[in-house]
Amino acid sequence: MDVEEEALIAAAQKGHEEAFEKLYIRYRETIGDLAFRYVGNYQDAEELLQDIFVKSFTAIKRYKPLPDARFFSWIYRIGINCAINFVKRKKRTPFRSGSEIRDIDIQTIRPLQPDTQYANREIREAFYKGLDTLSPNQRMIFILKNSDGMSTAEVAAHLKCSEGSIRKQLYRAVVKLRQQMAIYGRRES
Amino acid sequence: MNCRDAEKEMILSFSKDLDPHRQQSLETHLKDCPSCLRRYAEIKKDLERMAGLPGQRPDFDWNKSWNVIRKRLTKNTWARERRIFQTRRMLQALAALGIFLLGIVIGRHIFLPPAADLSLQSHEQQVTSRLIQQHLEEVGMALLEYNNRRSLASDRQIFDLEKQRARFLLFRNRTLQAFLEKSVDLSVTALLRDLEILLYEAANFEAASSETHAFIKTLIKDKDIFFRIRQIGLYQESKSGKEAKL
Repeated sequence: MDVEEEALIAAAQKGHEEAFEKLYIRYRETIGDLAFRYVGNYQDAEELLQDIFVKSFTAIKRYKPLPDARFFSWIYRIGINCAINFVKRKKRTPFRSGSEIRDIDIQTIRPLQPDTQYANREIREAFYKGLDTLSPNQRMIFILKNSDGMSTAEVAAHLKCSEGSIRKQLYRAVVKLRQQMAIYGRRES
Repeated sequence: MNCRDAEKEMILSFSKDLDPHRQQSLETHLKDCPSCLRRYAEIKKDLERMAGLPGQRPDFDWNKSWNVIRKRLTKNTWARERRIFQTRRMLQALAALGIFLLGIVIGRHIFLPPAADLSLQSHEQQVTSRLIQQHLEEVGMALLEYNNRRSLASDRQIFDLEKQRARFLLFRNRTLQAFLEKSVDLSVTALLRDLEILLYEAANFEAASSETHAFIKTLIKDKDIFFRIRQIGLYQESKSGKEAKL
């Protein structure tokens, strides 16, 4: 942890709004990525991002800096828990297709690169529909492993469970997702 | 390794969760099994595709989000402070009430004389206790005289006086028995019942009947009358003492 971050955390713990804002600027991109990858739509991701920061700043007084744990890990863990709870709360996150995303605020969204194979709206829709069938934990494990490229040990540490359990859940998640995508693909064709 | 196990191993292989030995056996299986090799390629393609599916995050309106966060934080802080304030007020009110009640108790203790126990029940109990004690003392004395005497009184006047006393004691014994009919103190009622037999004999025997005298003495011994009178007398004494203290 750098000195500036330490000072910012200390100030935030005393309730200084400026420190909160600086910490928000520092981590908003990473947390925003996590939120968007997890829920897959703009509106929910924005709501989740706000939830994560409100929860983190409310709990910052209880944060104790440890030599082997960074502040980022702490806030990221809060983000993961918030995201899982968010989906549990919403029960089923309705997927919004690309056209809907553009409808929300066309100015704020970067245009998708035309050469990327992931721009395929239908596959993406099928993917998020498949994600909806997973449990919030399985969904998070899949996102962290597959999209964030985290190691099993890192995911286990974030979710506070064993590596064996992560492997089992990941396997189930992949099988389920492939089934869902295959079903969707057949229906579409 | 069979084909079913291979599928599980494939997924773990992509997530780099296979140890070198299992990885080696998977690769060996894939070399020998074209269907699994095809499956492996499919899973790989699917996973690669899914890895990029969330796509590029759209640009959030960071300032708008920050404003919402700030508002929510302020609201949370205000609500928390209000909760703390309410809790503090509640505690203060409880403390004040406690001090007030404590003051009343201490004030009553210091300035008011100890309240007399004027309840009817308590008064009746005290009177009954005293009556029983007095009665037992007198009956005990009378029976002691009978017991210590070798023969019946020869003087007719003394003899009549003793009979009169026995009649009086018998009357009082019956009155007390009737009064204590509903009493739960069984030892007292049992003693009074035994005393009635003795007092009846004492009140009715004739001068010439030495048999009745002997009968009374035997009963006193058998029923252990003196010990019971002493025991109950002491018990009544301590009971009335306690009540007097109260």
